[in-house]
Amino acid sequence: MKRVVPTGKLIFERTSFLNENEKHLQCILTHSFNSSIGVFLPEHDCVPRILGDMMDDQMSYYVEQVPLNLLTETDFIKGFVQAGSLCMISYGTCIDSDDCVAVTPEGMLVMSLCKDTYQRCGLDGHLSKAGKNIEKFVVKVDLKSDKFYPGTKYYDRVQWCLSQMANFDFLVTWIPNDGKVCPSSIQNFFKTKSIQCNRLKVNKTNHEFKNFNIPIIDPAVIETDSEQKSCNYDEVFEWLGACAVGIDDYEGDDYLSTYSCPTPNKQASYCIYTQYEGIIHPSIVKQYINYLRQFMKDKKLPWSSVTVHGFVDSPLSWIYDHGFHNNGDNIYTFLMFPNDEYWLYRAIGGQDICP
Amino acid sequence: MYQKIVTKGSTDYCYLKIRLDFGKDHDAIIDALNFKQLILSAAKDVFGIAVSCSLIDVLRYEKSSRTAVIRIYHKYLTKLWSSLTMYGNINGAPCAFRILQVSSHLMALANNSRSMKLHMVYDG
Repeated sequence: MKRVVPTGKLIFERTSFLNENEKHLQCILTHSFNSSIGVFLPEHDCVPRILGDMMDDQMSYYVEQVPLNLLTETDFIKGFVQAGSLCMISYGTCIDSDDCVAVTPEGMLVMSLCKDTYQRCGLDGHLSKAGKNIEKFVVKVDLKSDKFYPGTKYYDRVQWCLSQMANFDFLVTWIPNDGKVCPSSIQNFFKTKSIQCNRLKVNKTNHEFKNFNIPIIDPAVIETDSEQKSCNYDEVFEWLGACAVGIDDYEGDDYLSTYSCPTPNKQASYCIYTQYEGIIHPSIVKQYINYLRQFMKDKKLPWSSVTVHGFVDSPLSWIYDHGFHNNGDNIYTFLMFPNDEYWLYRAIGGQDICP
Repeated sequence: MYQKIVTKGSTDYCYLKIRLDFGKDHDAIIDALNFKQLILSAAKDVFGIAVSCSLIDVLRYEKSSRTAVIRIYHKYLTKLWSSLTMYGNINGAPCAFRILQVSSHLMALANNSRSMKLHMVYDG
């Protein structure tokens, strides 16, 4: 049979937070454009309020019709790119058919452009590495570079080229380095430039499960052996996904669905999955994972999981070019255990480069 | 202690989020059982009994929006996708299956940033 083209790749890692070489922070902080965060807690009836509070405190905005040359103006770079951690991603643009623009917290302006826009804009870039035979070009401009200031040839060239391009709608979130500065300053900045900028509300979804079977997971065993004392890592990921979509319980009705909880399992009286949707800054994910590790130990939970979905139309998945072929998956899940070990799942599209 | 496993080849299963739309002036109440029946008949019409006998699990069904999350074998993805595309009529009522999301990870269907609705707070 002809080999089937994969629709997705899965990178699984098992390690511990105490391991010197582990890279959980790198995984979280380089995944810049997050569209949702979901938390699953077994044997517990509510997700700690702190996550909701953190989401409310983080201010995110929808900005309409931003001219791209505004992003390279000195006011903007000094006031926001250098003075804090900025996440900006174009909204309503599809990575496989449109031009997409984003600014990473590291201060990199990344543009994934169609062939005609790329040829017209006149900036140096490279062919996107996400997938073969796609005519998308990636242009990167380092806004934090020492050589990027008005008066230099390169700056003036970029400024002129960007001014020739169309305007974009953006989703924006900004966390200032200085705690005394209000994150809403960015809204004022856009308003003074007569650009429509409105605050976004995060959407919350809850799935509650009562008297529900949960898999028994041993952090040290990732693949089921003949004795079947714990579940396979891929079955666990599928099961977490089933909880996240809110699987229907057909009570053993084999006609509609043959899916069941992986074995061995045990019954839990209460489980909860809560998901927040919006543009989520990576540092929120970092803070929350730290909080949840302690919470899990205090409440004596067998494990807990945090899932972050990246924007499917993000020009980057981690540090590599991102594309859309059937799907634009760029997801990671931390399955954490009370002994500080964790399982990390990273799911990406079939044509993307493994991080 | 460090272990890493990378899965790059085809995975066993594929997950789809699909919605059934009716034409203008037509509507029908479809429950989960009917929905599965429709998928089976769509597959049977085009590719015969072999494909319709393969695994098709309805993991979640929302009656109000006629949206379902289904699980199928990865090797039947193209066949099932094409048969759903070609299905266009239920007892004389024009209809169409819309494939909203396709992924080899069920977790991916928990969120779709392309259809994300923005809720804005207007503060004068």
